[in-house]
Parts: sequence; structure tokens; C-alpha cells
Amino acid sequence: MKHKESIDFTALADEFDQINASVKSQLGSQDADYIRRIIKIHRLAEISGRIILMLCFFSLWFLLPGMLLLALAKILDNMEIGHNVMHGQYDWMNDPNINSRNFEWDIASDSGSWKRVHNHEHHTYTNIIGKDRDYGYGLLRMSNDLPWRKKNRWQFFTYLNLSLLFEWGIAYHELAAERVFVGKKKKDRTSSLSDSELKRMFFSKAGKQLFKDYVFFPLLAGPMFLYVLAANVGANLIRNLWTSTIIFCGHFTENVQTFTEAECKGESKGEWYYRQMLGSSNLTGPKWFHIMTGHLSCQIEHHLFPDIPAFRYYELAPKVEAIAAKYGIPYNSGSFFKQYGTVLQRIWTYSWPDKAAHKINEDHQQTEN
Amino acid sequence: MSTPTSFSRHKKWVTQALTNHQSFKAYIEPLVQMVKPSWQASDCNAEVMDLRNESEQVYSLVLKPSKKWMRHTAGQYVHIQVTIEGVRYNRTFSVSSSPKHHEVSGLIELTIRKQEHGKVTQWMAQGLKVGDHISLTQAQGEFTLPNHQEPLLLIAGGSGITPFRSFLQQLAASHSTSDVHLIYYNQSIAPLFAIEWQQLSQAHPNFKISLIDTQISGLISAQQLHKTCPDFDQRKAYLCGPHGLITTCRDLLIEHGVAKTDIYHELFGPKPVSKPPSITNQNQASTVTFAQSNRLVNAQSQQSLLELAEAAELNPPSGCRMGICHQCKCSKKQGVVYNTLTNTYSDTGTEDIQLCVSIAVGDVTLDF
Repeated sequence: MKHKESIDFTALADEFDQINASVKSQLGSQDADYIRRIIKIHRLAEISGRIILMLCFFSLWFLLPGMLLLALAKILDNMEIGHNVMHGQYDWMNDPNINSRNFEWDIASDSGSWKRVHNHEHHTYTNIIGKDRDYGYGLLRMSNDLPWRKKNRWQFFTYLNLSLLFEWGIAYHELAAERVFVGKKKKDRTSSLSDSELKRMFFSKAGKQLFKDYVFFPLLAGPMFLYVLAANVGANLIRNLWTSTIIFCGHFTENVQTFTEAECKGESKGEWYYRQMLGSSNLTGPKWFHIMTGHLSCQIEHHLFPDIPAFRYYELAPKVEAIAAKYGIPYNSGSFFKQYGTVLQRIWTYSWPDKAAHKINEDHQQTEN
Repeated sequence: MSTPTSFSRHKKWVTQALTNHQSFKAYIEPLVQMVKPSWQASDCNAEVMDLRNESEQVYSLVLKPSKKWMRHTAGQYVHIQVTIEGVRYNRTFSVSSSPKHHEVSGLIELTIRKQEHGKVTQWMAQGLKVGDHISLTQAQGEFTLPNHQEPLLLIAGGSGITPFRSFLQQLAASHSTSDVHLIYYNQSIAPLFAIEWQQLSQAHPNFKISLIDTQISGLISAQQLHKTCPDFDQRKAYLCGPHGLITTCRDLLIEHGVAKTDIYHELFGPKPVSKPPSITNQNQASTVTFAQSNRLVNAQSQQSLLELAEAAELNPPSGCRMGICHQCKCSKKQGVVYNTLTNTYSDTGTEDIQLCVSIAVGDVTLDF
């Protein structure tokens, strides 16, 4: 890895700006057809999943395929459709149903608060300790930028719980960002919404989600209420586990770096690109895997170009990797199991004070040398 | 408890909870489109039956709307939507054929001028083929053929003739004996539907049709009006065409004692945006805040908020760009905007505005 000082950031920014502009000028029917096809698959999976669950009246075996189809639908809705549409990747289509302004997704947090916290804070201040609240979600110590605290001892269990309840963790996290429930208000608060508005939106969306999965469809099943309820809980848990796992692989693998507010002050566009590359990591895998991750498997490309339709990241990846090599910037990519292994290792390592943390730092330096 | 409003509110809540969409139809739209590709939850669907050239620059689109499309009143317009390279465009056109014609044949016609730099009108002339499907709304608009028998004065300019073709066809088809005088202005180009006007005035002595080339006879004036239609001040007046024609003509009629309530008009083409008179100091630069996107943009005095948002690459949804379709509606949180369509200033507080016809007067905050 080259030292930061020796990188020509102006040239780097030009290269990425060019890729961005060239893809944007190609946007058209191909992208529109793609996202519409995925939406069709989502609808088919959701509707057939719900219907098959109702058939558990005849045999309890129907619960399994029903639950899996529903989980598939939720994953597609959250990852490849919702997350990407809400990034404005498809706004140019001028379709009110596939527009970041109107889109609402099948998850506890409401789309508006997601867009404010995720699109703005996380994507602008990626991995800046103290500004990117998605770094550890305020629950986990993921690097020695944060001092060790007693609660970090059981952060592996905290992590497992967070994964299983991920949608609620996220929904709460977004409100917590505004210190709505407890704590001091941030001085430089950007949101123009009042606490009561934020709370209302939170409970309104959460209420709708609870009603759908845990009241309406179970009631529809009549005597099979508890079975359908259990299957719906299962589908939500599978989705939670999947999304959480993929997202952790995007920013918390072994070699992902963190930044301080001071070093990012007044950074240029090129330096911003540079930080996005160092702060993200990719996963390799078959095509279906990329779709199921909403192409967050191409986290580096997503962070460089958050509003380019995500299915194009895959074809951009070799170009980005070549640029990384040219400028001597690490390009962090690996198989799912390899990357996830390092995530778990990181959570474990930083559960403990100093000694272990020193060790990983030394390892770091060794690999760099 | 179960008043209709609370029922519909609960229904809306349940729909949103179950589908995350505003309507159940919108949720299943992608599935229905697997069977019927042209089906849309919100609009009707129409098949292209013919594309007929009226002149080098103007063509008529003959459409067969689905059964869901109800009917129009002579003079009304529809919004149509076409998809070009994956992008949806909405445009507004008057129906140039009569309701009677639709009753008999099931067809309607839209007469369209290819705009010089227009993406959609140019594309439709080339890209639409017989048998294609497009999406269209129910007919809308207040500029319609009146029910009464009083004499009418119809004044059209250029492609503003389209609603009047519908008027006259409807009157002819219903054997009306109303006294109608149409004055049709064009500038050095042949009038549209010239043969039809000849046939109509021959078959119906109660129709008088005057075709005026402004290149030869000059723009509309009191003298010209007196000469062409001596009893013009005794008639109910309907004006349709470009902004200049309508304002001049309206002023003229009012000057000659025609009551404001007897003048109806429909504007064709966007009104030129002129620098609005200001409440505060005009030279003061105004800042527009896009609150959701967290962007501050300096506004130029002639720029619509839509153009401003687009220049800032905020990708607002947009449609007709002339204040008709309300696709670009956005909530203004504070500040004053000038509406170029209605020539009015907004209130200072929260309200919905149309970005494409609004100009910032002083600092404005938009919920976008």
C-alpha cells in the first residue's frame, strides 16, 4: 500500500467521475427492465409464500416453503429493491412507485428516517469514528479507536442478538441518532423534524409491520393462527440474520480502515473516494448471491457510486479494481466465508482490552510490510 | 365511528400496512403487467390505431381507449404517458375529436405539434406504431363546449385549434343550430384541418369560419375583429392558443364591453417566465433549501424550482412542466414562491406547490 501522500487524488477523482458519468449516460430500458423484473419476482414470492402458509391447514409441511418464500421476498424487497430505490438509483425512470421519494419497504424502520440517517450520515461520513453511527451501531467496539469498556466482554452475544433483531435495531438506531428517547440533543442537529414527529413516524411504521405479520395474516389462518405467526416470525428472523450478516461484511472485515474527524476535515472529492474504498469490502460469489445481497457484495462500488443502479456494480468492479491497483489503494475482496470469518474475529478480538487489540495491530503492520 | 371518511382512512392504513403501497392495485401492477403489459394501476390504457400527418410539423394520434376510459366533453384534455428508454414522460394534449365520434367509433384523436426541441412529441411521431399501447388519464379540464344556444366566438391560434375542432364536430354531429364564428390565426403556415373547415361551413350555414394569416393580415386588432365578426361583442368568447394571443384578445374584448365572465380561455404552451415583481428587494439573491436532501442552492430569478432542483441533480419527479399534471408537487415549508401560471404569490407557510411553475421570491425551504 502506498502512503496517502503519494497518491494523486485529482487524477483519482477524475477516473471515478468519468466512470460515474459514463454509466449515468447509459441508463435506460435495460435498468428499468431489470428492476421491474426483480419487483415481479418479489411479488410472486411474497404472494405465493403467504398463500402456501395458509395451506398449513392441510399439512404442517407447507410452513417451511411458505416461510422460505416469504423470507426471500423480504430479502429482495429490502436489499435489491428498497435499499437501492431509496438511494435514488431509479429516480430517473419517473415512475412514482420506483422512486426514492415514495418508496416504502417491508421492514420496521420507515423509509424517511432511513434515507436521512443512512443515505446522508453513513454514506457521507463512512467509517469516520464519531460521525458514522453505523460503525458498530453504538453497541459494538469494532476497533481500538474506542476505549474498551466492561460491556464489550459480552459483545459477541450482543452482536448475535442484534443480528436476529436487526430490523428493530436499525429502526431504533435511526431514532437514537436524534436522541429522541434519551440523552442529550446533538448541537449540530440537521433534522428539521421534531421529536414527536419522529416518534409518530416510528410507531406508525412499526405498528403497520406488526399488524401485517403478527396479527392480520395469522388471523386469516383462523385455527392455524400460531403456526402462521411462527412462520412469519421465522421469515423475519431469516431476513434479519441475512441482512445483518451481509452488512457487517461490508464494513467490518479484517482490513477495513477507520478515520478520524480531523483527518477528513476539508477532504477533496478524490480523498472521499479513497476513504470509501478503504472503508468498504466486497464479497465474491455467484450471480444469485449478488442479487440476494442487493449487490452490497459490491460494497466498494456502492460506496463510490451510491446512486448508480446496483446491478451494474458487478460489471464496474474490474474497472474499479484496476484503478485501485494503479494508484496503490487496497481493494478488499474475498469469498463470503473468508470475509465473514474475519468479521466474527474482529467482534471477538475487540471484546477484550488492549492485549488482543495490540496483537491485531501488529498483524496489520506485518501484512503491510 | 364508521363514517365514510374514517372507513377510507382505515382502509388506507390497512392497504399501506399490507402492501407498503398507496393502493392494492399499485402493489399488484407488476404482476398484472406480466399478462397485460400496458396495464397501469392509476391510468387507462389506449391502443394506437393510426398516426396521421396533418402537416409537416403536426400529426394526429388516433387512439382506442380501454373501457375504463369514460368519455370526454368537447374541449377537454388528457395526460398521456409514454416510456422512452426506460423513462416515463407525461404530456398533455386536448382531444381534437368529438365525444360523438368516440361514442360511435370508440376512438379519440390527439393532434400534436412536433416541438422543435421536444423529446416526446418528436419521439412519438417516429417511435409509436399502430398496435402500440400508451397510458392515458381520464379527460379533464373546464374549457368545454357550453350547453346553451347563445352565439359563440371561438378564437384560436396555431395548434390551439384542437379543442375547437372537438367543439365544431360535436355541434355538427348533434345537428346544433347554434351560431358559431371561429377565427383561426396562423403565422405564414397553412391552417390545420383546412379541408374540414371548408366542408363544415358548407354543410352548416350556422358555422362561420375565418382563417387569418397574421403574416398578411397582421396580428389581432379591434379593427380586424370588427371586420371579421361585427357582432363579436354580443358573443360568448372562447380563446385558445399561445399566451400572447390570449392576453391581447382578452384585453381587447374587455375593452369592447364583453363581460369577463363571458370570456373563457385555455393556454397552450408554457407562459414565458418573466421576472416577477417582488415583495422584498428584487436584487436580493435567494437561497432555496432542499431540506430532505440537505442542499442549499442559490436561485436565479428566472429559474423554476424544478429546473433548480434538476440542476442540483436532485431528480425530482416531474411531468408536464407546465403546471398541469401535479407530478412535481412538493411541500414548501417556508418562504414565498411566485406561481407563473396563476401570477400569484404563495403564502409564507407550509403548503403544496408545483415546482415547475414556481419561482423563489426570497429564501425558500422545500421538503425535498
